[in-house]
Amino acid sequence: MAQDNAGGGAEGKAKEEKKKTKAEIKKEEEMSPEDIELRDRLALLAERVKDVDAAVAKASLDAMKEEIRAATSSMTSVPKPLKFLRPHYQGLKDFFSSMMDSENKTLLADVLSVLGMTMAGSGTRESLKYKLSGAKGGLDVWGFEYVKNLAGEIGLEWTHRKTTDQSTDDLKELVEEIVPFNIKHGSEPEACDLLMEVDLLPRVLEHVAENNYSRIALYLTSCASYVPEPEDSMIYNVVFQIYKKVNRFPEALRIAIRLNDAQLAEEVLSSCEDEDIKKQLAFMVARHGALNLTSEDEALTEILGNTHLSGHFLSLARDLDVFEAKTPEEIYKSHLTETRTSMENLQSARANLASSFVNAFVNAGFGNDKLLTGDSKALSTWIYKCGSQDSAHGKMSAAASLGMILMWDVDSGLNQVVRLTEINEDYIQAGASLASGIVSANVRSECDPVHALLSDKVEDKKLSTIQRVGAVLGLGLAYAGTQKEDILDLLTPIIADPEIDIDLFSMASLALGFVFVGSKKADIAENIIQGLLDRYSDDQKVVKDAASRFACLGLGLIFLGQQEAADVTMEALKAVPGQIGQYCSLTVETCAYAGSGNVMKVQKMLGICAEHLEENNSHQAVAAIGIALVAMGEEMGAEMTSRSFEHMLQYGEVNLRRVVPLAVGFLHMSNPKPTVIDMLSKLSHDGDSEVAQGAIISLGFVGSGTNNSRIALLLRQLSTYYGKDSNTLFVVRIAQGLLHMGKGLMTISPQYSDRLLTSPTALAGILAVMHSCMDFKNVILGKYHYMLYMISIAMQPRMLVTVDEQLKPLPVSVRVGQAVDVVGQAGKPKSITGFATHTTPVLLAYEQRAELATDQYLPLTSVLEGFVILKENPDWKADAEKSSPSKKAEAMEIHDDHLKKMALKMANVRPDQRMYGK
Amino acid sequence: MATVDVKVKWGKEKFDVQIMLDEPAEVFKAQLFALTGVPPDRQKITAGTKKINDDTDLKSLNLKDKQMLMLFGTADEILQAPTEKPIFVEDLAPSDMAGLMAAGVPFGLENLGNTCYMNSCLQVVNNVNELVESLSNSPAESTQHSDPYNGLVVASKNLFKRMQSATEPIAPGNLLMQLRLNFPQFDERGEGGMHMQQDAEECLSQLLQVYTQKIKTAEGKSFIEDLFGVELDVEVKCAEGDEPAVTEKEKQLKISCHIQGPTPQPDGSSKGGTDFVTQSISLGLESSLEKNSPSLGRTALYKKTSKISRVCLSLPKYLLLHFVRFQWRQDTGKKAKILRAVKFPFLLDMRDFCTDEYKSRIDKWRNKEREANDERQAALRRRTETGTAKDESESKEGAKGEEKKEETMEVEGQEEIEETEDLWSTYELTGVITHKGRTADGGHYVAWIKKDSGKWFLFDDAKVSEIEADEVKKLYGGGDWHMAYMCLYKRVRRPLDVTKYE
Repeated sequence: MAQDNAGGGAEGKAKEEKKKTKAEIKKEEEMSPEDIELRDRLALLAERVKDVDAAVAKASLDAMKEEIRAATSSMTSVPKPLKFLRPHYQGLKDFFSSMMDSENKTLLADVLSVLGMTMAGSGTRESLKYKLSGAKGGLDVWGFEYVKNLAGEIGLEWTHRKTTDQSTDDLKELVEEIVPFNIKHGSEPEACDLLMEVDLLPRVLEHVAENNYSRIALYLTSCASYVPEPEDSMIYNVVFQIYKKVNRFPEALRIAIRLNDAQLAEEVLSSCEDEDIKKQLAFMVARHGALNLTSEDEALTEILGNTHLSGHFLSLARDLDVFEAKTPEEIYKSHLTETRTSMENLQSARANLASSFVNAFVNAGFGNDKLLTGDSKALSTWIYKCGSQDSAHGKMSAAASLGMILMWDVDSGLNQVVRLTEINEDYIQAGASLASGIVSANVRSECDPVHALLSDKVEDKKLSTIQRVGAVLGLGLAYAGTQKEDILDLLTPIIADPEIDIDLFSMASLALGFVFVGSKKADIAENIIQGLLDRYSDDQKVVKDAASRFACLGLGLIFLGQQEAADVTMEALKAVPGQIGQYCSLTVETCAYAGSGNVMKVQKMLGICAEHLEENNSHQAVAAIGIALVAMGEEMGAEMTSRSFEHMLQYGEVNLRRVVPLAVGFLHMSNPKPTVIDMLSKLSHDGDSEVAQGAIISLGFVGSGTNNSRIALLLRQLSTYYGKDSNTLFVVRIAQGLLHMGKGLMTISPQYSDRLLTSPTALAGILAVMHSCMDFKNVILGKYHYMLYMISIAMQPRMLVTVDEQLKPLPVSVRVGQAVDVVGQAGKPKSITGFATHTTPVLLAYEQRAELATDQYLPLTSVLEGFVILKENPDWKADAEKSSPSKKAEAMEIHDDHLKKMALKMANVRPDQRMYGK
Repeated sequence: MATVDVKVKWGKEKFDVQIMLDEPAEVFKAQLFALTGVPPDRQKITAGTKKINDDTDLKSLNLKDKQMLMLFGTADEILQAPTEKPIFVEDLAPSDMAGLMAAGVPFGLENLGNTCYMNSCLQVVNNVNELVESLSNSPAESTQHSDPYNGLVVASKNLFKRMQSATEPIAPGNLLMQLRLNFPQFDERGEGGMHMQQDAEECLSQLLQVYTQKIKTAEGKSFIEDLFGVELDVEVKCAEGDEPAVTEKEKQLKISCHIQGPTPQPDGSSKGGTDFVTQSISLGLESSLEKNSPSLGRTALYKKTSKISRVCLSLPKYLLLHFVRFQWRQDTGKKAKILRAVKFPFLLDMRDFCTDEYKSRIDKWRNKEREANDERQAALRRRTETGTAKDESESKEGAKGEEKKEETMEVEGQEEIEETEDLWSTYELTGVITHKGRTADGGHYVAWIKKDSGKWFLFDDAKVSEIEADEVKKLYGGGDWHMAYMCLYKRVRRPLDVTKYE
């Protein structure tokens, strides 16, 4: 917002009056002779303006103008000429109104407009009034403060005229003058503000040029979070046009993705002619996961299918020296905890299953581990160690864990997974199907092998439910976000058949939700609702089947982020009775407004949470998660939401308290903020076991893929604390696995690209896990633990890989540091702080940003994340690099600082803890 | 014959294959077998979204030239279910589980708000099997309301019973309530209404006091005094005048160990401080007091020396040592903690603190045992070394040993001393209550207990963990780590002098 200067004027006036109350003479005495002279001269001029002789009047006006101009250099205090003209302001105004139209009148109008800036009361908009009757142009004559003031008044006047339905043409003209002035003088934010104020934002495009586009676009992008629907998409559209105008295709694509507009994205891709930039665009599309762009070009297709992911991830691992496989024991570090159980000789299927998950998460994507990928005997022996008589379903997750270890490597990974089908047992077959989905998560192969492998199983009605469930979910993971019609054809019969088991129906709905995430497909929605009606219309039973929640989620995912588009479905859902209906409609509603920051929805959800329900309250959990879901994606909103969760912890019923840690974890995926860790750590010892379990797994989510040592310590302590409680211990183990996901090279945060974009598939995966965690007892700790693998579509390496035009790795030095908000700041502020210099490939934590430390190359995209293609800088000279020792010194210093902090932290450890450490 | 050239991807490898469309799919599979070595029955081939099975008509696939097919399958050995089925904890019956649990780590007591002092005491008491047993046999019922101590005994009885068959940490709420009811000092609250930390020694003393009164042996004597009571001959002698010493008898349930002396120097010299628990005990047994001297006609300094007498109770079955670590300091007006390290052994010989008469009885028995032992060893050696005449241990024998050598070993009935339990003056460490922190009103108490299984456990309220015996050696004090506040020793049959400090 441009600053309203009326306040300054009023202040000046008050000062003046105060002085007047004192003796005039005294004031005169204080004034220097020069001031007295100036005052008298101005008084004379003010009189002469009223002279009948036009020439005299003009001369005096010019003189007056000159005086004011010469003094408007600074606005820290009211300039003297303005001060001295104050007594004459009213007189001049009166004279002005009595004047006939003439050249002098316009001149006087200009002068009055300037005077009005400080003298008119706030809200009178006199400055603007006189400006409108004054001469056109000539803004720069009066300086920046004046323009700023004028812009503020235009805004006020605009709303006034809009409400009273008056013409705004003259204002528009003025705006046209002010905007170029602002942009020319480096205050693009003011220009944008003014244009937004008068609903003329698209006009900014006329003024965009190579030197100012980034500031304008950056400012507008950050504004968009704070304006209501649908204005935000209008702003993004303008930003998109800006980038397109200056041919910044990658940036334009970012905005297109933000708009969730596949057509715009397509347009960017097709209008870009530079092959290298096209590749960069393809990398971005691939990262997003839910844009289905295709290309004729083979190289581009490969990038779009994310086939490079595995190779580059492995080279990152080699570079960071973490290629060696890790065992679950290395994660548990039970030699550091005090407890030693005496039951080491006995196998616990539960504990082994937990180890399977840990092993899968830790070695995810590395293609090797120490439990499964060894010889074939070890593989089957281990799988059979994970399912006892009563919990044979453990074998399914154990088998599926192989898929996560081989993730992203479709070619050789699938071949290993297919081996599992050689054991003819339902759960292992189901696990194998799920594994083939996990292997292909976020990677598309041109040959479509997963579809070919799993389609028979989906269609084969003779197969057991669990086998078909595995196949269905495998398809869901492999084709998440692709919107492939084949999959729809394959799964629709399952959903439409009322005889199908609720488990299979629900998982098929969820799989469709994954594949058609955010597609608004009404026919799928209808089918799912019909399926729910078939199963629940006859009685009022609460959500007893743990699986039915996934059907609701599948329905919600179809409308993920689509806002009003879900209204029809919401209406239709009113037909579904009882708890399931409430659960479902809230799921759909919160999904539809995911990331919108819509205050009305947040308030509605808060209202639902505020009810104290003894029973039939499962929908409140959805509402609580929904608050986080709606608020995510915008830092300030997320912060506020966290605070309202504190209230829920204090005043909410126990069912709500159980969701709060999950919701907090959801807001901070892979973002281990100390305050969040503190809160969750406190809750992890809660008397209610499900609150504690939620807090523990959320510790895992918050730290996932970060190896955060503080969380690691907390979880180790929790594993001792809950050593006797096999259920909670299982959850602790899972959290430990999540924390060390991909040995610390991964993130599950759905937000990426400087936290501007949200990957819908990643969000879908996380939501599936969240909904599973709402009912620990029946889902995670029951027979649906395999739902934890749904997180595989949210898993991404948190790396920055720089490649050359041939996509070969190109190590360059980059500075990595905490991101700084530089929106609207003057000059060229540093965008990162506390940085250290590394050589790519390099890891980026949440809220970290990278910038090239060398001028030798130019990145093709401004946001350095994931894959970035570098180009040689044509202007670079070899010796230029050496002349920057000062920069290096600076980096060293900060690095030193970091070390100091670490040392300080070490010193703060209490002596007794150190002894435990031994 | 219609053919089409396709690419087949197998893992990372790619092959160019010419498919003969008119032949059955088996031919194609045989082609692939030749290329990859994957047996046809283990091949899975996908073409687009279709799978090629043996009965697939290749023509119906509409294969295009250069189309990519994928082959899955390996030539490795076939994956098979393991023949050995592992035994799972989950499959065991609950009764089997309980047995396994018992062998494992015991369960702790929950902290009910600064009650670690009580939990530590209870864990120590719980380890005195005789006491727990007598409590469970106690006729005390919860209906007897008239007796104030009765409730506490009933609460203890029930708690120890529950602790025997615990499957999760127990909250000793009832006992705590009874304790506070009987001894209001434990109900003291600090700022904010929280119950304050209390002295574990006081708690244990009060508990034992109650048990002393309520639990009687068959003969009507106090059971606790039998277990813990130390009978002392107290000799009070005037240090200044020449007055005949007065000997009195005193009974104590614990032995106080006083700590004094400067902090040990790094070179190991301690300048007369109490480095070892034996020194501390001596210090506690000798004290000086001022009282009116009838002979001098004024207040004079008397020296009070106590010795454990054999009369009546003699050495008890259990020995409770109390390190007087908390000291009221006049200058600060606070209870200060003495951090000085005092070493205590795993095996403690109490012989030196006994009266002379008692000592000689103990020595006699010991000598007898030693000889028997030597003889056994000698016999063993004779058997192995075919009778060597020289016996080193014999030469080491004292005068008494020489005397007795004349008697034949076989005639044990003629020994002048008969072995009774009270001759066992050796004690084994079985429990330690430690305090961590600098103030008496704060800090944290935990119990370190050696269970009958011979394993040491750390009872930190509800958290129980097995520890190495060496951990106990870290509890001597002298730093900010946990330090021993009370030690429980149990009498063991060790005829030889064994007090050793490590």
